[in-house]
Amino acid sequence: MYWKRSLTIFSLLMIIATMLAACGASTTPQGGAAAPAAPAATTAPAAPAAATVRWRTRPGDAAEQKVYEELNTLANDQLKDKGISVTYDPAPNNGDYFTKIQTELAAGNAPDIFWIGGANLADFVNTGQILDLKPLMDKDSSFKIGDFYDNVIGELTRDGKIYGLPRDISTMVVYYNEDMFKAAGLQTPKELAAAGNWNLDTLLDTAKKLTDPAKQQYGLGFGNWWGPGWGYFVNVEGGSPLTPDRKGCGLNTPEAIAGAAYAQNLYNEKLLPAGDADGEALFSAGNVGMYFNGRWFAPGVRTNAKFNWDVAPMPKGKVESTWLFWGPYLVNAKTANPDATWEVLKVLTSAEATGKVAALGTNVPPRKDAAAVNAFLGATPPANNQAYLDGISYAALEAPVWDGNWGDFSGKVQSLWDQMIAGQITPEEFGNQACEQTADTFTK
Amino acid sequence: MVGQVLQRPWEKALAYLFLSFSGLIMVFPFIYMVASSLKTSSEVVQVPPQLFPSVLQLGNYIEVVNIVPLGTQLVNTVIVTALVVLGWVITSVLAGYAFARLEFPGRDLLFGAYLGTLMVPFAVLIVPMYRIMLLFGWVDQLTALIVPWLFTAYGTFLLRQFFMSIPKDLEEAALMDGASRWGVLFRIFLPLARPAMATLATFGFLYAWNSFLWPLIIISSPSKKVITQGLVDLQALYAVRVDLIMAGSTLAILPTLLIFLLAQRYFIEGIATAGLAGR
Amino acid sequence: MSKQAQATVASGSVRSRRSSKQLRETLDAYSMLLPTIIGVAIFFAIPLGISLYLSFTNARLFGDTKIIGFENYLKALSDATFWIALRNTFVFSLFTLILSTVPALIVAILLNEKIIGRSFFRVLFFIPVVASVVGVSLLWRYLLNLDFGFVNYAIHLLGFEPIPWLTRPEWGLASVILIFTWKTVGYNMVIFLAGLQGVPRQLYEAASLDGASRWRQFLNITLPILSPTTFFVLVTTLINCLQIFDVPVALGLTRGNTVGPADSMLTVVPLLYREAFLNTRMGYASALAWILFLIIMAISFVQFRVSDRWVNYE
Repeated sequence: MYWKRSLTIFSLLMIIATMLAACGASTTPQGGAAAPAAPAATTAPAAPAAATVRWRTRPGDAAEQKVYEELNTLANDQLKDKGISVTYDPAPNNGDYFTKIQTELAAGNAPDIFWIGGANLADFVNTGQILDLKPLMDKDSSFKIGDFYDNVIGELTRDGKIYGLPRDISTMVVYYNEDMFKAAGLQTPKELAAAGNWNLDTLLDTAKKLTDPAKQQYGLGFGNWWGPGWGYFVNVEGGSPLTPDRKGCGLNTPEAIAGAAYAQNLYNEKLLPAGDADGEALFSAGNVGMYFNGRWFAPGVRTNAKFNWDVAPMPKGKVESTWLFWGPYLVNAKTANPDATWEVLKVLTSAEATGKVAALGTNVPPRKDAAAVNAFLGATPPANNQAYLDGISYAALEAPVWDGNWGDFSGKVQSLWDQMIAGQITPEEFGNQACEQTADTFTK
Repeated sequence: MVGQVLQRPWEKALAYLFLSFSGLIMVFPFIYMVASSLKTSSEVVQVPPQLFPSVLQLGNYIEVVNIVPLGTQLVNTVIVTALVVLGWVITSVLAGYAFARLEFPGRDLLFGAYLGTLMVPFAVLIVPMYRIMLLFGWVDQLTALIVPWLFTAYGTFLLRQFFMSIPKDLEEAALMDGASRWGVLFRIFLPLARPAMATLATFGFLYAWNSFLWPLIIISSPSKKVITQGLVDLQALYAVRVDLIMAGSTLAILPTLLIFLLAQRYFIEGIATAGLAGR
Repeated sequence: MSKQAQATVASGSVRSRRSSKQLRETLDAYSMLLPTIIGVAIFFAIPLGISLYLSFTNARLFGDTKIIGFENYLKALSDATFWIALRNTFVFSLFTLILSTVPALIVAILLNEKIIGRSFFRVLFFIPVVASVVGVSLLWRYLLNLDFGFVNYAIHLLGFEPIPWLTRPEWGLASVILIFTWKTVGYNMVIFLAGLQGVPRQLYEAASLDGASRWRQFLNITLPILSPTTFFVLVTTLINCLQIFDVPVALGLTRGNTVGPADSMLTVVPLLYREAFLNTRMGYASALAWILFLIIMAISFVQFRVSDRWVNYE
């Protein structure tokens, strides 16, 4: 009978699998490229000359992953003489990246070096998970902290201690579809900026002129999260989501509410696609005229866009504003060999290494030295790479909230923001309720 | 009991209409998935949408096979799934029978507590479980995907319900003749339970094959990853290539579909001969 | 093994037959349960115990931990987000419990008939079950998209306004219900199909001879004999629904840390996942898990209690 045959096949499969598993279980994990991540770091070898350092970052795309694998080879080559072997242990670029790293930290089995987003820094440092690098920097004469952007290092510094080095930075810019502007006979954001006329009024005007429901064309687009969303609009009207000391909520100020009102109007007039990531796909498909995003957006546009495009600085409001997003490599406080780990960290943040990543066009290098910067400027399209660098001087930094819980704060604000852009509450209610509801996310 | 409900031709016609319409709704997302996997990435987000690609191209499948180590992941997933299914069936048959038919002190309490395991969200167990794996040296080992998952309150419940519906006289006669409980289980209940076991095996298969959060956390080495991790990696590393992701999703669903095609005839139709309907 | 057990019992001498039979049965039962008990103790009871302990602490995943008594539980009761999540969970569970069982039973009855192509139809309904949530959620994000999604395109062709499934707060939960139902109907259908095999044909024949209508036959024969299956489906579906996690997270977790627009897809388990891993409050998350556990326990207990009245074994 039919089922008998299939049952036989199935049980055969199981027997084979059992045998395979039995074999697999008896062999100890093999070394080589697929070296096991976990157990290696737990037993520190007696001779300090032989140290294993495991590091992790999340690659933005496949090309970036390849570069990180190359960097791992580079680090191994450069540090072989010092007896240090380096293992790259990637983790997926989705929400579970943090679940994985936090589970490993809780169990005392995290990599020696790992990347996180800048805003998450406080959670890790406040719970004593991160090694202070200052002593290692001080005794290493070859290391110059001045090569990195001062404002980023400033965020990594707390009470004279330095917790990590930046992997990359990125400012937010306006991506725009040149062909669409040409067809509409409009000045591009780049041209407007050059004429000193690129601000919230011209943004609204341009967005309205480009929006055409008949052609399913939107003038504008941006992700629905704090970066291009409430963070930017509050900042550009002269407000700030947090109070200057970052110990409280700043969203109920008139400036912040003005920013919220401006954004609400964009949604009301249906000038942009709703939803978080939908606009990214629509921009690349040629249905969105302008899109606010960080540098990480560039590779996707290159792959998918079948039109001419470029970037320009963010529009001015009451003040000039954009975000500077950044993410550091941190050193696990439980690392078995801090000196070896420091050597690896230096390689990973060297001009050569950051230049390699920047050349892909995914990130802006975190260093000011010419080698890294030139590698980045050469990564075209977009032609106007300088726009990313120009923003660094006036950008607001993605910043750790030392006396509070950024995840909780941003989640609660976002929920209210969603209600506001859906027209369920007014900008004033948004600002006031945000500060009421987030009061307990700050430690007094 | 076959052929009881639908008697008149118009009833059959109505049934066909209903089944076809709702069936189409069920399967449409997959038609879309396969169609998208044959497109280029810009075609997928075309406005207004087009279901079928302008040019048929299988390039995405070739690309997926080249970038995802599908062979290794398939072997790992098969090993894990086969052992988990085996564990599910064995432990559920034993426990299900004991809970359904045996009288012993603490039965209801144990059963209640076991069912309780279904009611705890896995999210809070992740960290303690990871620590236990570390203790056993199972971090980044396939063992971590197998051993903790060999037991299932769900399966035990399924087989308990099934065993409880089997008439008592069958087993009482055998017990009178001096058969042991184990004898009764293996000689009388096991043959009868084939359809239930097939159902359970299918669900165990789906559970093990599709689980993704735990593998994501406990497995890091490329050589030990399972299919769902391959899919997550594909989504993360090729986020801008929806066409490619659709091709990967199509490939990932094929083995499970095949298993169901094989199993469904058995666990639904083979039953007539297996004894249940004959009582 | 059972022979040994018998032998030990037999050599145990002067017990009455009744109690030796009782003892043998207990031994048999526990030897059958042994693998399960060991496994559950190690891989479930211990982690569970740890989470219970954590629920009384201020644990932040790592770092110093201090016992704070019932503070987490009290905090949950005054946490507006928790109440929203709880309300969403109940609304979701109520809808999916009905939408994924009643149609499943209807389809199972139809596909139990001898009709042409029934294997084909069974497969159609089961395909959504076999697909992993990882693959399916992305698929649905595209299908439900406001601008280039097919669902709205179909709605547009029918002459209605497009529905902002994933972008407006009032539609978030509906989308989760839609997808979860779509993914669960086939699952319950298969269980009902397996249960329907247990209905003896002779009963219907006898009833037909007595002149009972088909509706009467369904009510008096099919439903009672199917009741253990129905009970199983109701209990497990509800347990799964109350713990819904993967669909809202895969569909709705945004870079803004909300689950669906304005947290409209936020149910309890995604909330506690967010508290544990994104807001690093493991102690609080554990307390939420225990509150949910007690709720599910209470509901299941009621289900079992009430089941005596309508579930018909044998």
